Amino acid sequence: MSRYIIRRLIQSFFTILVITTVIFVVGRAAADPMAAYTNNPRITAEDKARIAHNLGLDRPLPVQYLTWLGDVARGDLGTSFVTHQKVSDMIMERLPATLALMISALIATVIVSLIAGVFAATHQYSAGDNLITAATFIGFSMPVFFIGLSLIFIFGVGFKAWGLPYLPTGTDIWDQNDPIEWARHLVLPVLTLTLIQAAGYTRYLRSSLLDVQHQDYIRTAKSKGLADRAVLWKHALKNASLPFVTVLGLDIALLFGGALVTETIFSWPGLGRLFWEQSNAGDFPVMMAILLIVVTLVVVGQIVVDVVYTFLDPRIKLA
Amino acid sequence: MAVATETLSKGEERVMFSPSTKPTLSLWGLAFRRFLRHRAAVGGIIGLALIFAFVIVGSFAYTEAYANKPDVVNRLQAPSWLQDPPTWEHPMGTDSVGRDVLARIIYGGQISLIIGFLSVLIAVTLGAIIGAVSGYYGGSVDSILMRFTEAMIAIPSLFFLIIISKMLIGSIPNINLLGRSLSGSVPIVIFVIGIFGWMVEARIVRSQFLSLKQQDFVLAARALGVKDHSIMWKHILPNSIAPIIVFASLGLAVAILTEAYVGFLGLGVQEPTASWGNILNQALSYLNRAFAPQDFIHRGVWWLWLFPSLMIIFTVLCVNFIGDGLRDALDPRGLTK
Amino acid sequence: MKRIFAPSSILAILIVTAAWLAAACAPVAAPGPAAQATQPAVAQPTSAPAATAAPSTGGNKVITISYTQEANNLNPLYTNQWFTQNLFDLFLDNALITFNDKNEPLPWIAKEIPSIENGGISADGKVITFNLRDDVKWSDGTPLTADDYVFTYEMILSDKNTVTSRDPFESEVASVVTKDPHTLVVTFNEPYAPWMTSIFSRANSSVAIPKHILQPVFEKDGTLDNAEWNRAPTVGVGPFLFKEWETGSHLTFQANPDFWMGAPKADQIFFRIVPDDASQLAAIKAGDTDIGVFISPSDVPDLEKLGTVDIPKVQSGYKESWYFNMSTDPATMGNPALQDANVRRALVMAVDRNKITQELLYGLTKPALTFWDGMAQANTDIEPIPYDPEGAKKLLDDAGWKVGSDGIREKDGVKLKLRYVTTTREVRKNTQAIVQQEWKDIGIDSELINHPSDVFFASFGDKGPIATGQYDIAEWSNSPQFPDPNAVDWLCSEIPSDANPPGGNWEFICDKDLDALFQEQARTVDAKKRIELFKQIQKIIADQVYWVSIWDDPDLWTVSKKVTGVKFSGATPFWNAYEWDKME
Repeated sequence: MSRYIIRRLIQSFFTILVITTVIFVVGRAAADPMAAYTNNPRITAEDKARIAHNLGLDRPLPVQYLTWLGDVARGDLGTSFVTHQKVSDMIMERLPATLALMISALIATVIVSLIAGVFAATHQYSAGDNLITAATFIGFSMPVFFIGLSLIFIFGVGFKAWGLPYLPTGTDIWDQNDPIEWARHLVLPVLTLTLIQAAGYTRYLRSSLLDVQHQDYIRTAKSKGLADRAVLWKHALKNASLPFVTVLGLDIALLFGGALVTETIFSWPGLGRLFWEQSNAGDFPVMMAILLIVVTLVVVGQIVVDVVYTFLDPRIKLA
Repeated sequence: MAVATETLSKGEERVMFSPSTKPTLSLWGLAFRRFLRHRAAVGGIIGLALIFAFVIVGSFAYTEAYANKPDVVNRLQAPSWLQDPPTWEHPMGTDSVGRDVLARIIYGGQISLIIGFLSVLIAVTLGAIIGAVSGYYGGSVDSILMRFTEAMIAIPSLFFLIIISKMLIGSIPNINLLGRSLSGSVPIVIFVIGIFGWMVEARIVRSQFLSLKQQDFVLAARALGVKDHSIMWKHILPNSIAPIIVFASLGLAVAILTEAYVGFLGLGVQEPTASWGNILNQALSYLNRAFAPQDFIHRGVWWLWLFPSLMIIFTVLCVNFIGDGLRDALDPRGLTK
Repeated sequence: MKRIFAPSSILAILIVTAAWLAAACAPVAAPGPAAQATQPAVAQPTSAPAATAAPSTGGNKVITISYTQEANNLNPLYTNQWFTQNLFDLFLDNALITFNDKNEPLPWIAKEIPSIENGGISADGKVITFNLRDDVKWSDGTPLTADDYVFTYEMILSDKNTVTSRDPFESEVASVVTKDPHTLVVTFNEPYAPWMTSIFSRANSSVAIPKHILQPVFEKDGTLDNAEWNRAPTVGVGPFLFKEWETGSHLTFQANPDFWMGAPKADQIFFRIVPDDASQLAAIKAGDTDIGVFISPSDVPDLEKLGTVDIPKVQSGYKESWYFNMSTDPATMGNPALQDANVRRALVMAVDRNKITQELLYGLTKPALTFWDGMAQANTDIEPIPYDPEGAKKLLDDAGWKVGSDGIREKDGVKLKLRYVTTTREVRKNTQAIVQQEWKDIGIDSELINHPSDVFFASFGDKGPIATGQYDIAEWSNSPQFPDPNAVDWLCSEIPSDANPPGGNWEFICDKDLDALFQEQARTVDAKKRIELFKQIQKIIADQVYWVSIWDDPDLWTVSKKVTGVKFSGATPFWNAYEWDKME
């Protein structure tokens, strides 16, 4: 196992290298670092040439890439083209808010979908199962902004107007040193993300639990007289969670990238918005840094997921 | 009939191997029978047929020119049967330039269903092939395919979408299909959603293959000399159909909604051609009226998002139920039920 | 300025998770601490970030402004963003000339506005002398002098600094020198008419940076690019002073009791970053924000009924416009029909623009008459083009565009089919749909094309669809150098091509008379003469139908009725922030 992990880590290094190269080239074609300076009559052609030179954008692309790579190897993520701040500082500023939102949402999603998924599978085709099916698909089929904005207008604006205890719209002034305030402001965005994400997890869990139910070892366990509950939680769930864990592994890695739409609707200072706003402004160093971190997490996350497979299903052999 | 050596109870094994009994049903024949006995699945089939009938038959009731004809003075009207006096002129109300929403749901449905089903087909096929090959063969095949998958997950597809939209500036000709002029970006949208949507499924199918290929029935089949591709597609794949179907039904909703999102990049279905996505998108600009103190039936322009949303949810639910039935039908272990 | 709030955010995760565990299926019950929330959020300003020392005023009149975009750099040399530039009215309020809510110039740090009469402008129009107030101090007590302006000029021109724009300092200005600590002399190469809105003027955020703070930084680092002051301009001059910037969340400014016009009435101005329009609306309705920006016309009817806000309409020079592709170069040419002024007129006559503004824009605005509407230079004698579909048909018939067998007009085998291109904004899409139908009714076929705005506005060099002539009719919002009438996009020399990729004349108009008039006005320092030139310009544009406004495009704001004294100006929105007050 440890040899497998070492080999995967070496592979990962090259994977990340290749991916960053592709991202650098593709990203450059997609987001023009000079975009922020176009369509402004006050910025002349000379201005643009001078800015491009100062930012090092007039050098050949391979040179720019190697310079960037060299800086990253030395642990330097560079300086923003737009704000001229250190990229690492910009990311660190957004990190607490991003992680607070994404981790709460992920925990809530996992809890809700575990309960809903197991209930649905153990009560297949019952009224409860059908209700969960309908609810998950409604949550999933509604665009994110509908769910988020509806929640704001109901619990933020409506409840306040009706004199009920209300939740913040995310646009008020609040004390960021107060954990209770944090929690209040997290409720609606977390609810939004959970409503969307729980659908997938619940469906995967339900269907694979149904699959596993008929397998030999479950029957054996049942015939040995183990209580249904024990069979379910100790044996069936473990084996049925391969798809669940696969999706979870990806979501944990991607969680660092934030959730653009939810962050935007709730004015949440997360990394998703930082990435989107800076790439729109052509802020290449910030874009590359966030992508580099996400890529690394995805690649490493996949190794972890593969190892976790072998615990969930001992028959799986990695080689 | 290697499958029979799997986990069947003794009684059924005898049925399968006894040459003297009634004509043996093939695996697929059995599956078909089981499927037809699945109430929800049959319901799903009927539901889906109704949706298709609605968007096809509906287009005889309204012309496309009518669906695309603005009438700005009557914009954003709630369904006419709620108005005073009630009429059936606009049963689902009008949109932000006064076009009839029902007619647009009908014509938009044709486009959205094509986009949804075709792009999911592409994504599911790609994901299943890549996941299956990777999980079954393992080793360096697995390494290469999975590193590629990781790359596809990690590189934001938004980049590719932006590049594609930049490349296509002013050069997307309209296509004529069945006498209708369609925006040339429809096939591009289908392709793009399909090409960037298979990665999660590939990972899941691979995990199923990693687990299933070590199971007795596969080992037995291999010992019997069954060919690799036969084991993969005939024996393991049907056993990992459950997550694929979940993926496909969720993917369908994602594809129909994605068409609306890429509209912001100038890639979606170009208006005046309707799609469920672009009807839904219009509603976004007016959603904040939800709690405005105005006459009740016009609150939140609910008809603009409710009807297309219901269509999407109904379609996805039908596909899900069909998928459920398919899963139960293809599960050989289901015989014992 | 950064605070570490990681511990509290982790705690919050735990609390939220606990709430979820307790009420996984009944999320409505989750807001446990809601009791605390029954008082209005704005009434708790003291709980707002208090990382810096307690405010000396101890007051709590906090005015909250929601901002749909975040500032990018607080150094005026490094930004061209509207949202950021407005902030200079608060903490870097040292423009020599500013503009009031009627867009009239006001002497600000300059004691009076230089003119030929008062000797401030030399007879040849090339030298302008500014006499500066001597009672203005930076917030650390250092006097603001002419040296700060010279230093700013030097920093703009220094190759070491990645400043956003040198215009017009590089091309028009020969020198900026001090005569004494409170006299600044600017010399031009040629007389330069728009000086009042571009040389140390608030109209283009040409404000001065503190020499005593930034010169040492420049000498040490060799550049101002990474100066800490750019992010945290703790030394400023103006009614409010920078207090805190939490990126992605908010920016705070604290009253400056030593402001040279007297202490401002409000105690704090708080900019909340609210990136989503609909969320901003929620904030306005919930009373979380006092001032809202860029309100969509479709929200105005609701906000009016709400009764808690005023909705000022502020002229900012922008007009939603139609441009016709006038190129004669095959590479960038549009439909040849558009070369005929009568065809252009017919296209406009076919469309009921008043109906569009009445229905889509709720009657909040109407078609503008000229590109300079709302300014002293506007020519009000111009006849508007009427809505007259029958007249349009006749014009087209007379021009030889006859209705063909398919109902579409044609001439010499060319169909009258036009590419109508604009951005993906909803109101523009709606306009397209309506116009398409109206054109169809008189036999004109059209194809609607929408590009995301960054693609739409890309230059010729970046293969932008408009700049490369991939359109017949294009719709976008444009303005002169408001509040100065100067506009360069009409010059023949600005036509984009391989030789001139950044050119801004995307309508490819090259009219010799127009060109000469535009060149002349830019060198005419005499305001009255200049107005006459502009009236001639507008006559030509109207006669030739080179440009048509679909609607005048004012900025819509919301101001809570609790806040008083707000007088927005299109060019300098927050110019009188020192007079803003808030009732409790």
